[in-house]
Amino acid sequence: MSEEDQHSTQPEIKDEDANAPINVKVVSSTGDEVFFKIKRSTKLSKLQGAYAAKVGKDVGSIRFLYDGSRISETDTPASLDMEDNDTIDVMVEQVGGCH
Amino acid sequence: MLTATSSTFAQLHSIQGVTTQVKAILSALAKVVPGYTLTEAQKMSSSETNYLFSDTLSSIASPETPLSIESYKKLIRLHHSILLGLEQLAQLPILPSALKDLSRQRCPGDTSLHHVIKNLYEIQQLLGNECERLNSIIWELPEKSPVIATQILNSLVAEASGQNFKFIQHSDLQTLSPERWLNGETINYFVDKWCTDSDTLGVSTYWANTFLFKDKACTKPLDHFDNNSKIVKDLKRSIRKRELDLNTLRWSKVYIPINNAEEGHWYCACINFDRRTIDILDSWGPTYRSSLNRPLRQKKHTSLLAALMWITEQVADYRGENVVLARNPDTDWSCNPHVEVPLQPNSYDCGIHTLWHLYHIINFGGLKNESVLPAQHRFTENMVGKRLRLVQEILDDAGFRL
Repeated sequence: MSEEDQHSTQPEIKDEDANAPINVKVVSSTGDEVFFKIKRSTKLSKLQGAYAAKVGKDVGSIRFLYDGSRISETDTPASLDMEDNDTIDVMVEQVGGCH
Repeated sequence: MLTATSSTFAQLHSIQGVTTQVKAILSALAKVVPGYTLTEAQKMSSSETNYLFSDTLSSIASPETPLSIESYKKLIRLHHSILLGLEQLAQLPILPSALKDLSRQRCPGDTSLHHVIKNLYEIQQLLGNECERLNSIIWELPEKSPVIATQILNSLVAEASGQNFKFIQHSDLQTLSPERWLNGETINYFVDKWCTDSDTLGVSTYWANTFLFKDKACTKPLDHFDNNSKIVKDLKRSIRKRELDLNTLRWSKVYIPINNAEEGHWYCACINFDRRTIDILDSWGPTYRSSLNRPLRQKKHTSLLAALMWITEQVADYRGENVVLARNPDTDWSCNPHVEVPLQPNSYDCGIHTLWHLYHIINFGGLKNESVLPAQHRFTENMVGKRLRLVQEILDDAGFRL
């Protein structure tokens, strides 16, 4: 992890457990990045809450995506097969009717 | 006269078990035809039973039934009751063997029970057909009366407020209200559900943002393709995950819903490995018409088609097939950036069209010729009947009873 990364890992979800944590990058729709360190068995809902708090948004108003699917309440990095330095995308609600 | 006088305990036990099941079935059937009790089941012949049931059901549900909120609810309730009755009837794997057992026994009650069970078989056959007939009546009625269907839809959405749903929230369901724009959660609900039992692998509405476009608004399709990149690995993993959600490993199509966030527009693409086609299905008329007479390079979705061709090569590789589409004029694949589809005559139904394309793909293998279809399956001028049907499906899934 570079120094810059460490700096932006403010709402980091720390765990002293030996269960090796991975680094995850959360990218907003405008391209802003926030880095997290998270244990593979920790529910990603914790990371979602921490991210929402950091960017000052209601967690219900944004969607967290991995592999092109929405991350569910119970998903963990392990359940999603996530790897170190993977990216989670953040998006707002999609709607459409046409013009 | 369901009394057992058999000599052995085993026979007694078996008869009691069957009797309990018969009683449970009859009480479920009482919701369909209230007058049919144990006494009737013992007295009536098979043809009398058949007549009573078909007569009662056709008096409640006919294609001429005038649509109103009350008649709609009555039909939906009847449909539920029939399903429950059928569920009870189906829980009787013991019936055939029970019949065999009973026929070997010689006691006065046996003939009576034997007779009741024969009647239940008759009812099971009849209800199976009635269920289909009723379903078709229910979904043709809103097509004939869109104004009343609109009122029913509004009333259902309002009634469902406060209800707890799985995988979806009431605010998502509300986007199915008349003239509302659909949201991603609603589309994903049906993609996930419908594809599970089909041979179509449907990806989430967010998939295109990740794997087909450079931007999250889905306006700039990928134009640089690297077969060794991390994206290929991620793409195949995403397909593997979706594959695990299907009840078959022999899927042959990939359905991709797409949301252009800048235009607020839903459309979709379908890759068909059986027919060897890549289709982009877009119900927005101006896009279709403006692309119609342009050369391929200038059609609106041509660059998206190029990205889809690359995706197809990767998915084919995942499937263990070799498909080469880039710079391959000899390919037998047919790739169409603007398939001729029914166009939405308004500015709010593109989400419904996008879902209804999936409905056709799953139920008919692809877009079905409209003229041969009953209105309930067709892309109609007013898609409010389909909105009502989708809302009803969510309510049914949640166990919400009208």
